[in-house]
Amino acid sequence: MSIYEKYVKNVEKFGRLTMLLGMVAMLLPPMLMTFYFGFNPGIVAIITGTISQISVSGAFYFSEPISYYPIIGSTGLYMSTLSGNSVNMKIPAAVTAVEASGYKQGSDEGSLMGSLGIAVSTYVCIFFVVLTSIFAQILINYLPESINDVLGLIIPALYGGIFAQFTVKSYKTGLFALVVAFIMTKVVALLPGNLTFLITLVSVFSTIFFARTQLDTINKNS
Amino acid sequence: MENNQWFFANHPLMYIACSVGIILVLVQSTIIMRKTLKCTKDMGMNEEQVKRGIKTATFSSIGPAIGVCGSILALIVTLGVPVTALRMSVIGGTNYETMAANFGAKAAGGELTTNMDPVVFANALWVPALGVMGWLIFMFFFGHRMNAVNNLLTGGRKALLPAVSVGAMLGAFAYFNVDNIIKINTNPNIALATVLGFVVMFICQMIGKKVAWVKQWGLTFAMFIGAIAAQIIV
Repeated sequence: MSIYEKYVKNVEKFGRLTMLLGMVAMLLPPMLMTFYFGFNPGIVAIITGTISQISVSGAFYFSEPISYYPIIGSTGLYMSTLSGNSVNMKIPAAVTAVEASGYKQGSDEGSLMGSLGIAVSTYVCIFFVVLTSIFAQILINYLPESINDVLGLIIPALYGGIFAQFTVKSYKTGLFALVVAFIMTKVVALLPGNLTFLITLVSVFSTIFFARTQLDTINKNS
Repeated sequence: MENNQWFFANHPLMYIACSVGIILVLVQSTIIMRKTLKCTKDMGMNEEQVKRGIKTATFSSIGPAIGVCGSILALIVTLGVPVTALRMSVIGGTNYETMAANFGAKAAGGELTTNMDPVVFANALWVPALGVMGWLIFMFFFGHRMNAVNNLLTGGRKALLPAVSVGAMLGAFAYFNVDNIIKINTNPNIALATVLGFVVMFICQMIGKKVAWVKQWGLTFAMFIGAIAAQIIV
């Protein structure tokens, strides 16, 4: 076994351990809220919300690692999986580190550089996130009412923005998604009970199906 | 005891619970970095080149990190500082976090707002946390077997992955947008903010074809300009 292969095996063993620890760490805040403070939304609400989310993210659980593996390898994947922001931060940092070092993308040396790039970008991200969080609390404490109202509009504006970001990759798919979501919203409103997760399930999977027919357009605009 | 999320969202125990995940990310990066640096030495790589790679990656990460921070306020006003710092430091991203927290709040019969019932808040914590399990589970079982998985799942179909991702995103956000826009009579400012966010981002994407930084900052522009303009107009 080469030095590099030994290194990869070693990191993979450690990486798997951090995946397990990650599961525990993620669950601490909701567990605190429910088991310590005693606010239990009930298993139905938890599962309903989670199913809605899985109907969106489910495809990504597989598609992201599979499509990033050739770029950052398994060592990079353990880091980018745990720390998130893969596409907008971790992968660019990996590619930058390889390029600046002068080693070749895809070589063993290149893969090592990619992992180093991801590691440092994680530090940078957390530094700015913590700094902004502290600063933001002070800001929010002294914010006048009208600005507070604006903050409540940021998420709706963000949703519109994200939709635009992906619509420009395929206008037809964007329009299709809107029509399906609108029809499903009206249909679910007529049905008894809380079936809102059905809207997402139907609109996500029908849109994925539609998007497949638009593959050439999407690739051209990505 | 209050009847909204703030007592709990800012509780010292919440700070402790959230810092565990952030520390885990830092420890993981540090240990893998040390293992990697040792390997570069064992393989006799040029120290100068390694240093240059690390330095460049560090500075080039500052831009995207500020981009990530641009979306922090939106989450802080609903979920509080500790939860937001955790969620923005670990798995996911702005799109995921707002979407998942919103699914959680809705499933508990509420909305993701600055003043929500603690039970709604609790569900807005459960859903994003459970929603990321898929990534961790997949990596735990297949991370070290990726070569095989790669061959098995992608044979011919890998080309479809971009369409799957785009379809899933559009399908999900179509619902959130439709849900906001049909509030035009009850909450015209929310409907308008949604539409303006779309318009600003659309313009940024068009300009971004020639000027790359406009595209990178598009989402930040869309949320702030969209929200402020909607507040002024309505």
